[in-house]
Amino acid sequence: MSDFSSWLPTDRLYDESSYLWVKDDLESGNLLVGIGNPTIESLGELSYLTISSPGTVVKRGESVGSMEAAKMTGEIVSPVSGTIVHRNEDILDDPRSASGDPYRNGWLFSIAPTSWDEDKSCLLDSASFFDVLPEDLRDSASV
Amino acid sequence: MKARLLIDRSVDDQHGLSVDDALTRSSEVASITLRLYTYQTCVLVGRFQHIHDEVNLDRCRALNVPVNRRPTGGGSIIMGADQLGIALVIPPDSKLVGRKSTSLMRGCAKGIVRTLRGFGIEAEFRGKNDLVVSGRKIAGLGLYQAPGGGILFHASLLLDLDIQFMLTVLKTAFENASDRGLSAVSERIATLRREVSSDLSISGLMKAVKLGYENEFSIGFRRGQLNAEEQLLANQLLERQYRDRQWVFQTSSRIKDRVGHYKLKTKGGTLDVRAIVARRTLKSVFLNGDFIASENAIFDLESSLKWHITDAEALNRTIERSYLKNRQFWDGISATDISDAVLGAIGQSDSDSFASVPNSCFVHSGTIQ
Repeated sequence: MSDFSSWLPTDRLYDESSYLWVKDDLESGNLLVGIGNPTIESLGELSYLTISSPGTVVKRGESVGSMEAAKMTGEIVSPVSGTIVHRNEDILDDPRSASGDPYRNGWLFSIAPTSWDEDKSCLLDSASFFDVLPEDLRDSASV
Repeated sequence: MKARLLIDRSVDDQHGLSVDDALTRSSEVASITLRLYTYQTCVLVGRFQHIHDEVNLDRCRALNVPVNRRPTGGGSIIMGADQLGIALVIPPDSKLVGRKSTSLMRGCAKGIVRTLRGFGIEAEFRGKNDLVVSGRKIAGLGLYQAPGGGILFHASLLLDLDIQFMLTVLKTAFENASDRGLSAVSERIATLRREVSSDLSISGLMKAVKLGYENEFSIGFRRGQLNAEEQLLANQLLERQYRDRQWVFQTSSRIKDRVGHYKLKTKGGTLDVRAIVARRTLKSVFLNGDFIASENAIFDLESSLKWHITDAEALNRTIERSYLKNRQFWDGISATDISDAVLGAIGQSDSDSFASVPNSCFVHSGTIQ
């Protein structure tokens, strides 16, 4: 179980669609949104990344940026409605910086939520998220 | 399983891209769609490329060649009557291919591999997004995931290629499309007209690709058309994205490519290595010099290092693997020599100023010998 919790920490929630994690930022009262092992396993290492500017108002399910990984490009889709407060400048400068410890370094942006209770009900805890992951990604957790 | 076939001929760049995007974003991505199409002659750059570094915009304007930006990554390409566009759109929950991007890419491209096998050609994957025949590239591949989770697989399959025209409109080391440039590029690409028959038509190729995917996926594709939602979405995307200069000319990523050169004298001759680096990603590496090695061994090494992390240990492992596969084709050069030269070039890229570094899908600056 310790291996599992380091691959998919239990102290945050996960979005089944975007694979992003959401965590309370206790210092600011906002939420941190980031990439984790399932994102990196499914897309490969990130090489290019864009994230909308602070102040951007976004709804859950809308694109807040884009990325190019080893084999694939895609949108960064916000799992939470709200206003972007900060972007992780380090990861914008060096997208691979998330790879070693994505749950510490892989946060993409912080957001002041506008409908957190509603959005929260759409997110999954780590065990439930693990269950809905495709088999080839679940296999990665046991390596 | 529902599977739809769309055939389009001679679409312009804006319509070609907006329809692919609409198919992938549509809320009704419930079925697999295979779109086979050709473009009116145009240049398409990759999602995060800097267009001014890639395209000779003055020549494009003079020749009335439009330029646009794909949602997929990779290098710049020309598309026209002899390059078959293949778009495979897959629903988010499809079990047809895996979820990992590597298995997605390979799974989606298997229909092309099967098609080529039908022509007696054995193709293999190499590097980030290449499909090669005996080391020569015959198709460029790309993947894009839309906000709703739909997957777009893009491929440009070469029935034929006007290399002189490509070298005219794309920025490469061969600015003047010289005989030397034409020859060097020609050696590194494969086309179906060259490999199979000069009589092969685009219609014949479309039929073969449809059959290749049907056999590979064990499904039948029925000819269809866009539904009303897809058509509306395509029109919206055309207006707000693919006709928008801000999309086409964007420089959204703050990471610019750097180039580094390094020369290393070895027992087998001088290794002259050029590396293109985007932060910690080695986008491309090119080996030149007066050493003796087979073209295939060099292509294999270069391809295996495309989009590789710049970490020394990981690079050494990859170089060793490629080297051991082709050991007999490297004369007087060791895997350590190659590693030292590649790492030297990467190290130099740290100190070089930012450079304009074109990175085309079918030709790159390192092709020069």
